[in-house]
Amino acid sequence: MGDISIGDVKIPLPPLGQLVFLPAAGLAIISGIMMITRRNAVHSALWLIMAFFNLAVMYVMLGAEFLAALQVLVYTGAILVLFLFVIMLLGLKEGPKLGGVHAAQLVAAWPVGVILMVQLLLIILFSSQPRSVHIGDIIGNQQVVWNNELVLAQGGNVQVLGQTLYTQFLLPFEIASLVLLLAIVGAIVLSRKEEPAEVEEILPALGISLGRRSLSRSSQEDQVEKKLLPALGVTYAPDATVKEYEQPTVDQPDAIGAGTTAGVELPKEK
Amino acid sequence: MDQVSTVSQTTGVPLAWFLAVGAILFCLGFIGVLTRRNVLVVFMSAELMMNAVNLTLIAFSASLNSMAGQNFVVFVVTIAAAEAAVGLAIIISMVRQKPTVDTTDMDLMQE
Repeated sequence: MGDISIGDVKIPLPPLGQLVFLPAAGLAIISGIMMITRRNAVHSALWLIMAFFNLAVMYVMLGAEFLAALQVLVYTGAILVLFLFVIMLLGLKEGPKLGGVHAAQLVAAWPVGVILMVQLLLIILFSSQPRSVHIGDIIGNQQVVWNNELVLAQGGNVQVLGQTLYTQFLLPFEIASLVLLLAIVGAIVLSRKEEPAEVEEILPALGISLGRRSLSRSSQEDQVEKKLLPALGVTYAPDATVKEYEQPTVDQPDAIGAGTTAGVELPKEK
Repeated sequence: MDQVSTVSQTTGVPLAWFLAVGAILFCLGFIGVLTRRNVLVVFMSAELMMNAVNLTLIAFSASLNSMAGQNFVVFVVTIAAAEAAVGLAIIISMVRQKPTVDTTDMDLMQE
């Protein structure tokens, strides 16, 4: 890099990489601090997006352009938006206060974290750096050093990442697809309504009692019924629709009421 | 190579700087997990820790001229996406049982 000369005074400019790195690193760290100190969860999420963007800048500097794109698309585009979506879906405006009952936890956690940080920084900054850095990968029987020239000769970072991902890391790649499939199934099973409405129609047709609980009701409605109505002097009355199914009683209302009908053997009546 | 290994010929930034940023972000996420009581923010802090590790992996990948680190990051992102999906589904189903996101109130298994 050249120097800036003002009159006779020459100000040496740091390398261009450092001019890009330092703001990105500083903003990432500031965003991280803001993320863990904001009371409002939405603000935390927005600061985390800021940190992710600055990390993407550093990925580009390190020659990982594809991962930088992945960072922006998957992390900020998908995961963080999912977080924001859930925060707003839950609609709990003010989160729990910092400190409170567990102020001791707060007091203890900061020193522990800061000590860990200092230790890691001491290790990183004062340990001996690797001298010979041309290690590369062993592909087949030969050593491949992915330096800039070779990566460019192959067509760029995306091509090289694809080549290694689908050769060296093919088995982990396939396993990762299974993990994603399981995550999809798990997320659907966990987040669907606990008591699907269809069960209420199907089970009586099979001659199975639903007991006192209506399957399609949410827990909030249950709470209203159990707490609010007696307080108002209203006697508790189960749903009329449920009542008529009560005649062929089976002595397992809990097992059915728990909502896990898939795994429970449905007792047949008659 | 001179005595300070830089991550690539073009950037002129020492490897240790990237590792330091990764360490700082990891510890910030760690502090966030320990101090915050909003379960969603705890989750986000864990994501920050994962990203700090990603930065470390990519920095070493660039420094060692190896693609293994970048491939690892692809898997970390995959697992993070799966974890976020399942974790948020668990949070939603927990909030249905008891409308709170405070970790100290999430004691459904103790009752």
